Amino acid sequence: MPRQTNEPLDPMIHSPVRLAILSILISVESADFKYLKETINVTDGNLSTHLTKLEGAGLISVEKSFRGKKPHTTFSITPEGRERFAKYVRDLEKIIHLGEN
Amino acid sequence: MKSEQAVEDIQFIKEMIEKTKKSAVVYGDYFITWGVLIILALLGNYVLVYLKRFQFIWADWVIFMGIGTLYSIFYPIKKKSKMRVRTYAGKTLANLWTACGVAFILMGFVFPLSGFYSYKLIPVLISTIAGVGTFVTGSIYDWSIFKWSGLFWWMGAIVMIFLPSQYYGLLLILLIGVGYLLPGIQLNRQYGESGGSHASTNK
Repeated sequence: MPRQTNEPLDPMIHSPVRLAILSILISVESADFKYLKETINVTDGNLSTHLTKLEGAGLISVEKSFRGKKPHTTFSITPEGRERFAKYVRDLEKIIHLGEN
Repeated sequence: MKSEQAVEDIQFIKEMIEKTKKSAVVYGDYFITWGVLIILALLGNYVLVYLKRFQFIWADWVIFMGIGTLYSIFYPIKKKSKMRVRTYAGKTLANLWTACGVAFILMGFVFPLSGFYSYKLIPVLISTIAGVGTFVTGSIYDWSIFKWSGLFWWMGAIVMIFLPSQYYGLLLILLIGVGYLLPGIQLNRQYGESGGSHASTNK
């Protein structure tokens, strides 16, 4: 069924930090907290908040392990997250297309 | 949402994906170590030929290539424990060089030792495979120096057809210098120990 063109963008993705997180995770197998923080350039608290939201929505998965004695957390995009991210990009392209006509 | 903003968002997504894709998991010292080991093996080969100790030539190669193989097994394990991001490109690259390594062993040891072809063919085949490895590495990460290295290896393999076999060693040293050591040093200079591009993005 075709989407309505005036339908709003996915609110779970439509945030700069969450969009950045998903853009990174879409192209990797997994990334850890430090990598995401340095690449996106946000504070620990800000990143944690958005990661929790994405995990709660089922868009990303979290894997906790230990490197030696230190805890290590990695994040991956879920199949649902991949699908919703792809749909988000398609919606953006639709907006661009409408703007051109 | 305005279309201009949508264009900006698409651009932002592309930038983040590109930046992450290029997070290198290849380290320059990997190429440097292999380059040095092959040069040492070639020098050993030269000395053994000079001393007419032909029966030890295979041992020379087995020792240095054995060290290289052990290094190739344990080095990624060591690095993996420090890795902060695992990319599909990195995985592809690891598989590529594993495949090249198997081809090196088959073409450099198994086939000539079984008498399938003359040992004189070894440098030609090794250079061809090394060219594939370096060229594809350059293509995955869009590193032009590796693409040029690949072309250089292939050119070297062609030159060997017209060159007397006693000069193969010298040519191989030149090929390793330009095809392994130079890009390895360049990679270390560009990315250092972190092995990746981690420029920050403000948004």
